[in-house]
Amino acid sequence: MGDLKLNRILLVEDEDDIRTITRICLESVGRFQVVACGSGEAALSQLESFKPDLILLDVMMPGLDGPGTLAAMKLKTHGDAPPVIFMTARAQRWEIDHFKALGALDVIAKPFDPMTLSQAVKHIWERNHV
Amino acid sequence: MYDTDDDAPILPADHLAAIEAVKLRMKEMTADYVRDLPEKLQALEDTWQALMGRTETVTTLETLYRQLHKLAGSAATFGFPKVTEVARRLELQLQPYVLAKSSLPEDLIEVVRHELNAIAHAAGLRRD
Repeated sequence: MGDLKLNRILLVEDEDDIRTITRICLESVGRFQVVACGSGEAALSQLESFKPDLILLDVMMPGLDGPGTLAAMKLKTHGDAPPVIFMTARAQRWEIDHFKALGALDVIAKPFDPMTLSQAVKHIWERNHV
Repeated sequence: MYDTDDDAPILPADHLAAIEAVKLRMKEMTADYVRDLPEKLQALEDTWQALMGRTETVTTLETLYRQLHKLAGSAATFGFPKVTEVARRLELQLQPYVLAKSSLPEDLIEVVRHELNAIAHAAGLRRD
């Protein structure tokens, strides 16, 4: 992958508390530009207008779940969807391997420390892009 | 995160101020979470009672599973690691029955009841 700077993050998380604190931390601690959505369907509608560098995607959501959203994004972009990091409490080894096989860059286990999340995201990004 | 303060990156003053503001917001949100936690646990209890009432058992079990998943994914972030631990443990025990869309076996019912009480205890809301 190329040497790209991470700036714009699309955050997709259905739980209000976690979405809010995650967005605040990504913006204030990580200094990223963030658009936050409460569903996979809403995330799909933000793809073209926001043009994220990276998508932080919750796995278990009502309606379109994380893997379903990733699949729909790939369809919508003809395979050129932005890279995805899944966020999930389902972070056993086999589950992480499964999510990576779906095309995710990596998986961040929930619950996470919001204050160190930006560093974790940067680390995953740099490992894959620098 | 860093071995010594000397290892930590030096951040501009406005960035440090922003981080302090986030810490303050985090405290406020934690207080909100503590306030709302009894309601979340009551919702769990209501779902469990509905499940025991034997009405729509498969969809009610899915609801219980989702509620536990959300609790497991958020409680530790807001200061309740033990709630996350027990909710996660119970979520994993329910997972095979949710995936198979089957009802709970009798021997698991007492386990669920015990674990729901353990969650209430861990949240500081004694229920028995």
